Amino acid sequence: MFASGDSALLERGGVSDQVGRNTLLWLLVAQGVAIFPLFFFLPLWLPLMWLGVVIARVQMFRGAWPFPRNFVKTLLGAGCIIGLIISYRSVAGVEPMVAFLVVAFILKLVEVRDKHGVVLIVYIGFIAVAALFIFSQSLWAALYSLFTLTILFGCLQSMFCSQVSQPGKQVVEACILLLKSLPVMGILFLVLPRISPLWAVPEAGKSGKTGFSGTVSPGDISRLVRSQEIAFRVDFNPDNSNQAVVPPPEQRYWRGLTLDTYDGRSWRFRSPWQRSGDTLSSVNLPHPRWSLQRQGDATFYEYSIILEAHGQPWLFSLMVPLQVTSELKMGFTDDYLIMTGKDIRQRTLYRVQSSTGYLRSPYLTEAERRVNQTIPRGNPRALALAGSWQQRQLSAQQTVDAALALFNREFVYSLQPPALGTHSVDEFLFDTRTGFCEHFASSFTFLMRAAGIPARLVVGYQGGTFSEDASHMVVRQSDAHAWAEVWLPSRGWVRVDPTNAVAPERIRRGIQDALSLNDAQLLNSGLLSSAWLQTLTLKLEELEYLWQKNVLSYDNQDKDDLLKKLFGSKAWWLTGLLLIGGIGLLLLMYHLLPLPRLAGKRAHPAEVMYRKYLRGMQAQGLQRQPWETATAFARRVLHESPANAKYAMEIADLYNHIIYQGRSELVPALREILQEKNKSRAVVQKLSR
Amino acid sequence: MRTLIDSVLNSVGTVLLGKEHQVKLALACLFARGHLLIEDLPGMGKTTLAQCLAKVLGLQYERVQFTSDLLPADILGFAIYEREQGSFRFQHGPVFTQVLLADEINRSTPKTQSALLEAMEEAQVSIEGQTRELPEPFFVIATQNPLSQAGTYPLPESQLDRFLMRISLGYPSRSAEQALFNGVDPRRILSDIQPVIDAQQLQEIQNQVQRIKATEQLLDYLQRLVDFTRYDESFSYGLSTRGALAWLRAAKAWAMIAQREYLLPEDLQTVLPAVVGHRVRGIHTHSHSGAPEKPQSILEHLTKSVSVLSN
Repeated sequence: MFASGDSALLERGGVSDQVGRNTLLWLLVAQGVAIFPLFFFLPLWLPLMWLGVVIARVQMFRGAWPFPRNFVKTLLGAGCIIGLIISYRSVAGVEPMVAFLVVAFILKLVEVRDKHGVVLIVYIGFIAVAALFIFSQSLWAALYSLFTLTILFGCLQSMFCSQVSQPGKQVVEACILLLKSLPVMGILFLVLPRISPLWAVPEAGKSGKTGFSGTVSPGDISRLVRSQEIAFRVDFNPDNSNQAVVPPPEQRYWRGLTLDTYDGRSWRFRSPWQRSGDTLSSVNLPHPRWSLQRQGDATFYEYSIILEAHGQPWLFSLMVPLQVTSELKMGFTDDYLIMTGKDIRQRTLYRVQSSTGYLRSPYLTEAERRVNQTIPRGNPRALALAGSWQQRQLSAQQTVDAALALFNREFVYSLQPPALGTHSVDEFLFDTRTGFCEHFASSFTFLMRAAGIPARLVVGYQGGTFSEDASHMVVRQSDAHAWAEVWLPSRGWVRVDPTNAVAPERIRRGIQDALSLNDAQLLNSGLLSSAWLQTLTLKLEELEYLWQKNVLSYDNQDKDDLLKKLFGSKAWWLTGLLLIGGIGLLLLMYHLLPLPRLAGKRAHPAEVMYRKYLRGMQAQGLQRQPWETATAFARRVLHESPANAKYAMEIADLYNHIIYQGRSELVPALREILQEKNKSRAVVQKLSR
Repeated sequence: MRTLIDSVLNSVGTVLLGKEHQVKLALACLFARGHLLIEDLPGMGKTTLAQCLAKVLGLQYERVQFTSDLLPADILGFAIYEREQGSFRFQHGPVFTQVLLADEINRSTPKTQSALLEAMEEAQVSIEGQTRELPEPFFVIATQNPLSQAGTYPLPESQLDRFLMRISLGYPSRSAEQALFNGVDPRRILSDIQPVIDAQQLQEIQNQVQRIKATEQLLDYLQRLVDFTRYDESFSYGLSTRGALAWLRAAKAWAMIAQREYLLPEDLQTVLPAVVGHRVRGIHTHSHSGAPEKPQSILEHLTKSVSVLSN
């Protein structure tokens, strides 16, 4: 026989715990799929490192390279940690931690030798799936993670499968597994309480890329409007009540922030605490220093806004916001802006009540007046113009009208204004006379201040388009706008939009109609050209919105509402009951109902009948052993249960003919004999009763 | 056909009393164009069975007693120089026959063993650069003595695979033995036996075996059995593809003998010990003496673990 060494070798080969070819392949694919999206958020050397590790692992599998020794592994691990520290300059924070997880995940691949290691890797893979949500919570991230889960399940399947089967079959099995777990996910999603510090997604990744910063210089907004990115979405019907009050286009001024410091080129925003010294109140009621005065008929707007992350602390609202509610701490500043204490680094939902019927700050403090009248040196011609108005002793309102009339005369609205020099206001007003909204608003504010009227620049968005199903309004970066506010005695702060004087279509119909053909083309370069692509984008944005609204912003309140709707109560024990009961019920269902096997073939009808017959026999205490053939079982029946003997042989014979001789035409005969048998049994039972 | 097979069985049955099952297996092996390995003590009727089969089937018969000094040329043949013609003449060895009894095959060196085994596999012999076809049918019955293994070269697993079946005859039953005591000397009966079928009819039967029907469900059962030997932990190695094919062929021949033109799971189960026994090895069957153990328990484990009905 064998030398003992040989046989030992053979035995090890037979039932080894080693990672098979199939499993390794699955593992590599699964790991790649799990960490691929993370690569976009992590240091660039990670993908390269992964590639290297994959190559090493394959070489090890082929036996070309040995498994690494302990000191090599230590070296690798230490090297990676040093790399992370160099990349991030610190080890604290979410991103370095995720990177650390990915590094560990990748390095584990070199080390893994047996099935336990594979299981560990797959489990880390599940954590990697969760880590993706730190960076992105979009619908696409969710769909992708479902895909990743399928692959991870497939990997597990391939390992525990005793048979080598086609990858396709394992994918199907994994899909079935995933489908079975989806209802569990659903229950967890609906019922599990959101514990905010634990549940909140840590801030990472997307810092505000597009949007306003705290300063506006000429050209800033005209650059911004070329982006089709969504700034925020507005739902004017947050309660799903019947009457949604939607402001008319000319009222859709979404105030973002007011800029009151001008240095001759840029307008600057001073944060509220810089101005007044007091911190934001967490109370969502109007600022104590506000002086609002109710005036005439007021229209109230109720709306909720889903704001995209823009990395800044301000939020947008219609004039005049009276109340704001959100999970974040939000408050008002004394110039009627909504602010949070922290920068918005993830999509944020908040709800605002605004009203048109209020006067703002009918009285101005001396300090405020001073701030809003300060002008830098320079621009002599503009100063002279303002001086001439002052000399004619025009009232404030008349001054405003005069300035607007000036704009109305010879100015051109354009995305590509000529460059301006040191006296930018002068050059714009008297030479180029071509500009975008920030030019108009800026020079208008300058003129007003020069004429002694408190004025400031406001930036935000103007307009917004309704989604296809008219359920919500989408405001994009291309709706970015700048306008002015002037303080008029007894009327308080009043919005004046000089752009309206130049290009009224901009306000009424949107930027597309206000620009010349050339400019419109420039604007469209950011847009997708083909019409169906555009509709597709719209549809996708629509989906993304629904995802935002229904899934991501689902909170404890919604959960309680759901419980109330379903059970009329929101008691805490209902949550527990639903959680445990629901999942328990599902598991029970999976256990009891043999769900149709998608992968398997349909059983032969004779097979089905025969199984039913076997179940009948089992009920009578005659259990077919798995290894017993039909004939063997029939013989035993003959022996053990004479009552059933009459048909047993015949049934086995027919079954053999049908299944093993392929004579399907005998199926009716088998059915007949089984029916006959049941009938006679019923008769016997009746008699014995 | 039915009568032919019946009469073959009857004829052999008159010589080998009470060994119907083994005779049937041997016959099935022959019908399936496979070679047979009989593992038994001397004097159990191995030679009688081989001779009897050859006679009944009207086949040429040769017997080689394997010894440690037996050389390949002793089996295959060799070229001798003829002085009169001044040329070489090939002297055919005993392998050029239809039924070859290789007695105590494990007594010869691996070199000689492999010479025979190659002939078995290829049905041809290459000597002195010339390939010579063996007669058709060519059927080897090899015997092995499981005891007294001193100075033997047991066949390795790879060689065992060349035998379609491995059976052992075992002691005869009481009644059969008594009949032997009272009756005529089997050797005399043997000499009286007349061929029942001829080589052409045998080939016809062998061709028919190939046409036995095996349905999807049956192949599924076979597949699951084979897979079990490969992936269950109690097997140190599983059945090869050649082994699986051999199993199917042997079962078909068995169905043929049972006068059925289709396969039943019973056929697979019946030939299982003879076909699978020498092709697999359990993880715990360490043999200290070197004698191949009969892995009965592992075969039973195999049969009992795999359900006949697909799940």
